[in-house]
Amino acid sequence: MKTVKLTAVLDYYDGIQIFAAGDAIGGHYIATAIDAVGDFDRYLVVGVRPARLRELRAGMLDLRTLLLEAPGGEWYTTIADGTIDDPLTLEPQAGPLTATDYLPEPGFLLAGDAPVEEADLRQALAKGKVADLSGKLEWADRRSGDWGLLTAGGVKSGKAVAGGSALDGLQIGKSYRFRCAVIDESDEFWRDRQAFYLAGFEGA
Amino acid sequence: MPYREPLPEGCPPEAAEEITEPRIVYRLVRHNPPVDDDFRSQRAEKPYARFSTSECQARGLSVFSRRGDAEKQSTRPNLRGMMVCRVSLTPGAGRILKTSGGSHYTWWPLASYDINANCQVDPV
Repeated sequence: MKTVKLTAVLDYYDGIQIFAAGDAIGGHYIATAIDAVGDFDRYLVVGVRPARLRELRAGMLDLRTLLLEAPGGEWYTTIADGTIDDPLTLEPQAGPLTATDYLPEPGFLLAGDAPVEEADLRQALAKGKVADLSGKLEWADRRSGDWGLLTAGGVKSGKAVAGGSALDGLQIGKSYRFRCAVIDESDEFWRDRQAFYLAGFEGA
Repeated sequence: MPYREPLPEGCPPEAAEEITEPRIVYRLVRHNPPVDDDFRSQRAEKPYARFSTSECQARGLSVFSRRGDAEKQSTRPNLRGMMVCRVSLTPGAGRILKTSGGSHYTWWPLASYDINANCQVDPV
């Protein structure tokens, strides 16, 4: 019986909705919640090529398209009745996947990471959760609001709540002092991380 | 102030911010108008499930700051047909933390917060 283990949580809503998994010989899989059996969620699982999985994770590939690319049309279900560290047993299924109602609608792309709300930024600044970073601007993406500053301690990357407009006037290669709100977040494995959000800047 | 559901020690985490100013979030609901059952945590819904990233998150409610992210969830097989509720969070609503990807937040509501009165189902 084939088993896989969760390697990354890709989508969460009142539980794990989509995750990546791997088997003992290096195979890659994608799993998406379809229903529940008692207390336990049941997932549709298909094998995927690593490059296609990366495209999904980058928000460039539709989930339905990826699921329908299952090698040999093979697909499985699994019931998650253990913890996320336990192996999941794959149950092979017969018949075409398209004949089921297990597929998401077309157009389901994984969401890019959204900036925090203005309220989070104001609260962080009011509480003095502030970092002053000085260094040379390495990149500033006006579309996403992402930026990177080469400081004495290495490259520090961050975001801008208002998106690109907050980065107006900055020039790549010039030195700046960035005043940033430090926002606490959790990643998909509930690990704490701190994100820098640009609140203001001046030339250094 | 007690939370709407019993929480493990250390939950919500220190990083979760107390809601001190109004904000809007979006959640999927099965009923219009929404009922209490629409605001039950994963743990309350599935007491024996352990396939979760953390017990604290399992006892919170998933919400999104972007309506589109909530709408998208309703196109998935297990959430199909659910409606998007616009939830007004005001001081006293509890604590909130940006978790996972996209615009997903985990919200731990206080027991005293009247969720139903602050939730409006809008047409998709």
